[in-house]
Amino acid sequence: MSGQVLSSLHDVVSAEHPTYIGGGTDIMPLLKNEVRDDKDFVFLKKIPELHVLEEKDGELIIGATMTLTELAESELLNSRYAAIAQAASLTASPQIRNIATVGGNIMQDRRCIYFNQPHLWRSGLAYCFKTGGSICHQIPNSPVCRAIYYSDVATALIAYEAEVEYIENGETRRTDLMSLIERHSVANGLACGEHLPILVTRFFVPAAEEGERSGFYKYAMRTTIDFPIINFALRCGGKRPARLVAGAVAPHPVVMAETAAKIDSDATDDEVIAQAEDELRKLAMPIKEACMPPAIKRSLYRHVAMLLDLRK
Amino acid sequence: MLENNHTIHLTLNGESRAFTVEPQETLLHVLRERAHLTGAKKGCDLGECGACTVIMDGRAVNSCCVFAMEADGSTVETIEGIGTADQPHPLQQAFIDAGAIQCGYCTPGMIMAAKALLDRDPHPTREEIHAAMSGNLCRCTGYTKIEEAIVAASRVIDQYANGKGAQQ
Repeated sequence: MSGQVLSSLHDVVSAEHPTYIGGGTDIMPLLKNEVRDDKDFVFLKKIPELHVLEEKDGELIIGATMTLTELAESELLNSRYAAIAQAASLTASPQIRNIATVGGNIMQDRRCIYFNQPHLWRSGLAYCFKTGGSICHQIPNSPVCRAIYYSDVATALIAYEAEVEYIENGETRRTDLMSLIERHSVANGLACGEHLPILVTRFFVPAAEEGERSGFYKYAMRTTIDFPIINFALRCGGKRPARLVAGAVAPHPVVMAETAAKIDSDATDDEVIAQAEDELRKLAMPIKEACMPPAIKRSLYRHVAMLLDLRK
Repeated sequence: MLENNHTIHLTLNGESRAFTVEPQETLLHVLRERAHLTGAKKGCDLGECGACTVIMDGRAVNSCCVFAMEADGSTVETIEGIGTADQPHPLQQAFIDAGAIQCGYCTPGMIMAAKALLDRDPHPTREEIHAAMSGNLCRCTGYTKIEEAIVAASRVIDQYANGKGAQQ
């Protein structure tokens, strides 16, 4: 087991499978539950290039080590990118938000009631895909892990069509955030030695346009502590087409393009809600969650209504 | 090079301290087992209950979920650093006066979360108190007396600030 505190992105990391730590609040419980066996930790908080929040050259730039509290309290985000600030403010508890970073939130592990358990609890079951085995206890005939991705901030960033910069195999790359999360989701459905060895550095969001509005909605059992049962982010108004994203319903966030088109049309709110229910029935992949059978989650699809005031 | 052990430096309750830690070690472990400050409690150990709350660089954090290496260079305040039995902090006194304690296990975390709030905002609204304390669980008292204690402490701190009492 080893550790290194980086003070610059130029520092060389000589580890075979480095685990990059922003705040560490997501990985720490997993290490304690022995569902991950990471050994080489690389701490990023002291790298100044990763701690930035500014608008520059037509883009909003968010450094990967900005804490969720910093995003939630940012005047810039609250005034121009409200959905991102709201998503950060509704993630976990104040203590977690004070230390958790946006980079870590995006690269968080997918969760499942058969995986996020202590070693003793899991020892009565065969190893699942995420612990190096060959079965998904949620859907036993599934060829892949079906654990859900619960990030709140990802839903909001994708509503803003964010891109992400990251370092992989020594090369700096940039891609749309949705693509990276889809890659992360696939790798994260395997044992931790198979996870993407990438270091997320910055997020880029196209500058908000005049007249644009956005909002974020989250439903959770205990709002201030729990992961979402469902979340939505909507960006609308302005000249660009509306964009609606749902989270916590599949192994990655889902873009609800058909419902977004309805939002831009003259359709009534009831018609938009009906469209959202129909679209999520096709896109969502619900699984068994604590105290939450899939049927209950499906009944929450209509909660998209909570954001429809943004149309006016 | 990646190293197996690392020396971290903390300003812990006002004193400069150095500790040699392992990469996976938590700040809570350093506080309790190396610094022998056992006020911060190990509750759920997963960042859900808030019993381990300490103030790091002015913000309340769950010390059970903070890597010790990540805390290197930070200023850390624990319940032991804010008052004594003879001279309790206004929050400690208010918790006693309001009966906001039963088993006491959550109390250090509650008081540190409340202190982080009052340090930043001496006049919080009830809603702001609810939000700031939402990461701390108590299974004994309910939360009404805890909320009342924080409101009372904010008044006392306000009186000190206005010269009506002796600030500690």
